[in-house]
Amino acid sequence: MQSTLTWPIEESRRVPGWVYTDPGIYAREQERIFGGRSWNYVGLTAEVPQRGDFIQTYVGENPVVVVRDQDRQIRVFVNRCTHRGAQFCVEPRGHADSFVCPYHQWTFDLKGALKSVPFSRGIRGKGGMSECFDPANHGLEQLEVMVRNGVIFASYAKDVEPLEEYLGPTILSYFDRVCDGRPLQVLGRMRHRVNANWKLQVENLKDTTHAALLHAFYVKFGIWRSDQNTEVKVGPRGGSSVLVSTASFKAVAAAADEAITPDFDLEDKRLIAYQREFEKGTGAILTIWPNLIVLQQMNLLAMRHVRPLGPNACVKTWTFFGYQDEAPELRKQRLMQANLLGPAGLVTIDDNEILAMAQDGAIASPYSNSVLEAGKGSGDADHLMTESAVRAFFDCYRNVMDL
Amino acid sequence: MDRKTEQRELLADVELLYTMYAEALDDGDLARWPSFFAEDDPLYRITTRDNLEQGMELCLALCEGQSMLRDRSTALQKTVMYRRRFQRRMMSGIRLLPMDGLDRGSIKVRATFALFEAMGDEPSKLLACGRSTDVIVRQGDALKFKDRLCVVDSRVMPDSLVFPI
Repeated sequence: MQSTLTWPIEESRRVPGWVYTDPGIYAREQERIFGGRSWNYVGLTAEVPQRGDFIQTYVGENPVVVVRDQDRQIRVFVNRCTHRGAQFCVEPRGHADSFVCPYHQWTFDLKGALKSVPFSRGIRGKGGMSECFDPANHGLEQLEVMVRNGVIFASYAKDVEPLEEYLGPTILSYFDRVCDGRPLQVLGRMRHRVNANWKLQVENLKDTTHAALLHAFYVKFGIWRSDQNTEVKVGPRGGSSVLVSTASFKAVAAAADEAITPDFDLEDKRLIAYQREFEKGTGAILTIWPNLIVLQQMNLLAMRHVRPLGPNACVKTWTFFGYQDEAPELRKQRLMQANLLGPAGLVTIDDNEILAMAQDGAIASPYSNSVLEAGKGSGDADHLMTESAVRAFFDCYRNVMDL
Repeated sequence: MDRKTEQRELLADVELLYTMYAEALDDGDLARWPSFFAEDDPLYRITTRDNLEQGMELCLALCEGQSMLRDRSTALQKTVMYRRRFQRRMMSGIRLLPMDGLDRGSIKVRATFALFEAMGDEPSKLLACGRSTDVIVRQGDALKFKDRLCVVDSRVMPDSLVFPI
């Protein structure tokens, strides 16, 4: 049994199991990845439309509050009272003029400044806060915020490059394809735990090869087949990528090596009734390092936020959206197609299950390696029989983690 | 028959519908699941308390009409990959609600559900707990769901929801 965690000599063509299970690695990830020079997705401006609106979410494991302040700026604070550390914001969303910690009534304004401390001047001439205490030094811990086309990102680092450089022009163009500046509207959320390491979840959306082999539903209805036009694009740091594909929607017999297409046809085609909305593909799945999957598949649009929950699980929050004032028929199609996604999703269930099975394998054999030898290198590809985006993810990971 | 007895008999019939429904799904009999719903435009939805409270239309599962019920049932049987599991549905707190605004012959019911699931070597765990607000109609001698809305309490599902509630 090895006791030091050394990466295999094959570099990103191998991924050791302990990467998914080791508590020390997990702790280092919280510090270096989520707490480092990265843009973490935290929400949509459509979720906090008015001054004083707030939502709760997580950067890595850290609970944060996203709020629109009185000057309409978006702020992201750590959800921790600077007095005794209580997680003062208890509602998942709401509206407030200020944030008051219930323990000692320390009151913070919408900009995170500490505005009042009860009895700070003492009671009947006795006690009170010491002269060493300056409220200006005890505001809520704030993250850097970047908003692009209605999407909010936050970073613990003050020196992370702007999102445009972070993603590079190609990945940015796919981001802007869906988040193009039109006001977004949230249609609802699905939230579920996946019993797998957060990286396995993110990698799943960089793995082009599985969709036409695991997702029999997609193959059967021609939504994702191995012979359709597919491209892989990798961003400048390797951590972000996009998989773009153009569906034929032909329910034809399986090609050799593809998932066996089951013998059934949909009685009600409304489940997958689709109108073409975007240029460049019918489905483009974008992963933004470290915690976001931007899903566009047929008329499904969702931000998928990944929150690590220890090495062996993560919580996925899917925020489904459309565009304000879109046609009712299109809105209805999005709601119908949502049957494929989330915890009860006819496609997502496949992924939830296989990821848990992969995690079980890693837990049992932490010193065995995953093998990533499909295709070569860590760059773009114009076909789907490659693991280049997964290798690129681990190039980025090993660099940030010093592994 | 006086009204009180009539209501008690109706409640007994409604409770039997829930029992038979739960039994079929606990037995994994997906093929029979649509038969518990009315022939004519049934509606089946699973959503979360969170979405409902915010007036959000998104559902975890949405079936409009018998065909969509059958499609979900068949897709689960033929296309979805999932590990074997054993489920147990507890339906209780079944109560007839006032029928204001509904067609004569429709029955509005509120019930609570708890769905447990055992997988692999693990003991049964709670997968989902919540309430349903349902409209039931008579179809011949039988009672059928016309509109079943299952609302899951928790904000985060602990795992996949493979089989319907």
